[in-house]
Amino acid sequence: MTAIEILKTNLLSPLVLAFLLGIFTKLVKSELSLPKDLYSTLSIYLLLALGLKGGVELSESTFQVIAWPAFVTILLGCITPVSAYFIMRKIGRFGQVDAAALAAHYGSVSAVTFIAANQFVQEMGKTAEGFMPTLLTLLESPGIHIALAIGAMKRAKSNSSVLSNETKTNSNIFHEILTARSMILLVGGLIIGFLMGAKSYEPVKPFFETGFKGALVLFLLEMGIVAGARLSDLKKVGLPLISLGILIPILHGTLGVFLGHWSGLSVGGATVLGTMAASASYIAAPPAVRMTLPEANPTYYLTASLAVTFPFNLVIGIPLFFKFAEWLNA
Amino acid sequence: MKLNNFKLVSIVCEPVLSSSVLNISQALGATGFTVTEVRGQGNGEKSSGEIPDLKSKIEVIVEPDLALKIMNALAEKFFENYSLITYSTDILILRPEKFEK
Repeated sequence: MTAIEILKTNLLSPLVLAFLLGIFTKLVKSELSLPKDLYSTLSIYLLLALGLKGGVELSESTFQVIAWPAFVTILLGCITPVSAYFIMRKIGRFGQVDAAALAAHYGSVSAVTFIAANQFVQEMGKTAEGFMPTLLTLLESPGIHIALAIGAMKRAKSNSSVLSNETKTNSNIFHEILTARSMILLVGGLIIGFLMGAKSYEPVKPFFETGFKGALVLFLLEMGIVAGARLSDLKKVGLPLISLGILIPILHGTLGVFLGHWSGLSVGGATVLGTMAASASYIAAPPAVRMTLPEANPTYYLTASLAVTFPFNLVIGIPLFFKFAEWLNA
Repeated sequence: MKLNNFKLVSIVCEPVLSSSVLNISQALGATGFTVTEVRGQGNGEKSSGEIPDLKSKIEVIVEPDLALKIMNALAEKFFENYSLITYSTDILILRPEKFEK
């Protein structure tokens, strides 16, 4: 398939179209929005399903197969917040605190983008390794911590830390990230899946797998509405941040695909790992950043992550990383 | 039963602050609280969460002295960097012992 054909297939997938419908909904100022409880239910369902399936497949993998991919994933988790910080500082000319806040988002990972990438490679006939959800959990937390640590250090130096005694301690933040909804469901699902194995998974499988793609379409519709609501903020954040919101995922994604390929992942697996590295968190990172770096402007990080990077990855990034993984593999 | 003069302190803030606000008011002596999810917008540039206009509204019933104490503590801690407003209203309640520590 040529790059254009891949792009077209992706653009016409139900996920992307539902997302675009969500944005359209906001553009025409429709009152449509998913009830908040449905949104929560869908995210619980999606994350638990992802964890369970990943856990079952993990129980059938050997340590040797996972060791290298797990190592490069942690490596990525350490590199991406630092690279994002320096790009935001040097090219974007952002202040230290804002750059650190942005880096926390780009260092962490968006689960929805991850799921979308998994679906995409499956459609392309290159299903990713079953242990990918395990890698997702490994990438979630180091990025946020490293970036927040950079931010806290810089702020302490520039003495503007009027709030230093009031901000949460690092262990508090650690506790919050580890016990966040997404982590409990993902890691819990992984452990349950791992312990019960394929045979016990059979009876619950229909519930968690048959509805999965449909639920994802609904979720993407809501994501579109949420992203659409932020479009007006694009003017506020300006062209530099919009450009960096595209440049950083390309850089991180390429690095992720490269390291994934090097660690022995398949084309599908390398694409998904690249997409994970390219994605910016929008659930775990914002509250952690808001509490630790209160001076950072939320409009920057929320708009960049939700209204720029997420749509970019969904529409262009994933096919791009797939093409790169195919090229590396050839 | 006799009616007693108390204060209702209301706090409307970013959802991420809810637990801190509750901790502060309880540490200072509030015995209970009510939290509702509300929507709204002020003039604060920095007010934005995952869903932009979603806010938490926290209400506590306390003695008049304590109301001011809580409001001042919140002001000192959050006014500078967060989106938070607080106000108090005079109310009449039954069973005052329920609201005193």
